[in-house]
Amino acid sequence: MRLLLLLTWPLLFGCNLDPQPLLQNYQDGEFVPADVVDLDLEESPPELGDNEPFIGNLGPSDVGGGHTSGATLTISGTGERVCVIVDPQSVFRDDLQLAGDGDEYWNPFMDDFPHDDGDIDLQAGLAAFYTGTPGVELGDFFGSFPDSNGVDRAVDLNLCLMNDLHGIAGGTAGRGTPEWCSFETQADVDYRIVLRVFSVPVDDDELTYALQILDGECPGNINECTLRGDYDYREGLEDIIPDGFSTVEHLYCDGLE
Amino acid sequence: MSGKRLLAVFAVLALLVGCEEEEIEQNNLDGTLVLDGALVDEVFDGDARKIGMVYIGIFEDFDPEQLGYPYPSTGPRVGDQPIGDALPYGGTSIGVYSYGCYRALACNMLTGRYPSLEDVLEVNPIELEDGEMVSAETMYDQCTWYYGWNAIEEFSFVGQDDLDFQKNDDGDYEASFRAWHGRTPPGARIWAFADNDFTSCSPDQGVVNRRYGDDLNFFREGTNYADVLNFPDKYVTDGDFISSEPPTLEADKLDGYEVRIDYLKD
Repeated sequence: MRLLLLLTWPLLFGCNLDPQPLLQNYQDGEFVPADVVDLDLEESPPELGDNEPFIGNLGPSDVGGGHTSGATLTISGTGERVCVIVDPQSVFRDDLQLAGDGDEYWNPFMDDFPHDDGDIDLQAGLAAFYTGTPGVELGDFFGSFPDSNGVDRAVDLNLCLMNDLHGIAGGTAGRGTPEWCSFETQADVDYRIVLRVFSVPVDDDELTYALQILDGECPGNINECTLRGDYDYREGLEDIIPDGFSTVEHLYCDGLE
Repeated sequence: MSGKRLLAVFAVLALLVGCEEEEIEQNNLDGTLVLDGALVDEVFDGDARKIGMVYIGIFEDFDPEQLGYPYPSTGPRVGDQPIGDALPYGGTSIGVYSYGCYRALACNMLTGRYPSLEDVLEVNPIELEDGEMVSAETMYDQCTWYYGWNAIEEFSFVGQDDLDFQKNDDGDYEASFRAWHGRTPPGARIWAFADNDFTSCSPDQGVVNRRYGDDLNFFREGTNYADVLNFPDKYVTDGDFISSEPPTLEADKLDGYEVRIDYLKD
């Protein structure tokens, strides 16, 4: 009995019950501050009508703790509809490109771990209703008003409405999957587009994304390959990805053509 | 005082410290829903078993003009939403969607409508693949297999004592309701509608199948959409019953309200 206790004792010390390492913004023993980017201050900020997507990077969020990384961009309304598309790293179901032995954790066809998807949620609305501070703290479009009975009511003024699987507004796409929406704008009125980081790839805790803002309604068939460039580049991939493809996205989108 | 008693006192004190009044103004609201018997006669030939799920909501106000039929007032219309959110303070329903042990009955049956299995099958006849009609005995066996019930008293969707509506002396149908934990400011209105064609039921939501059928297919039992009281207009269709004169909440009065449903949407 005593021997059993003696053997069990060191095992208990081996149990690490500290949950902090599970948080994506906990790195090297400390919390990483939220990465809030004001895209308006970029040297070449994304603009309405750009032909090519803007490629950016964002750090991790602690969603439960309210420390949200993300980016904001201001556009001027045209009096018509505008479409916003964001595609977070990398490719949805990239495990379809598993190595022949089925190894999920090292795969020569991938530019990093197979589970390298990130998740960005998209919001947009009148800049005047935005509650955050660009470059400092991410906000939302929630407002409140006292109703006729004197009760304070909350109202979400986010114009970027996406339906969930059941047709109810307020849905978001999952990891690695593009999100998009279009909304009516008033001419010469500022609108703020908000990218909220929900999760980052586990391999490097950094999320690459592609963003494009278009005039009019969104295209009818937006998928993983609509915006290109939402991946991490690593040298030497050309030598291990077959058929001359240089990235997994390239292989995924063009490999079957 | 012994050590054990002292420990017990400390334990109780510790529990009391943990009680905190959050001062959220929430109340239960009680009342009676009265469904015009003439409507049931007109639409269902007097068969109260066919009354759909009745949604009762507490709303800021009433706006009979916006949609051309009696409707609660709404908050601001946002983005591409066709109408504003009705922003209910709270609400409840009379009857809930219930899975009647056969896929054919998903999103077609409610609790509180049927006294017996014979009644269920009279309103919702089920034909099996071999062309045979399901009998009450067969349905009983199917439900005991599907749910694991062992007696008819366990069937959640049948029972004479579990019927929601009772016919009153005026020929109308009455059901009591309680809207749990809602805001109840004076001036608010209690508005209701009966979804008679089950538009508000989502077949892709609800409890996951408890048993697999012969096809081994995954399915859900079906339940109501989450936003019925926020956007009732998505679910109010022709043939539904609506209250056209919703009562107004009075200060310090939380029971005794009568909500009358007397309007047919057509």
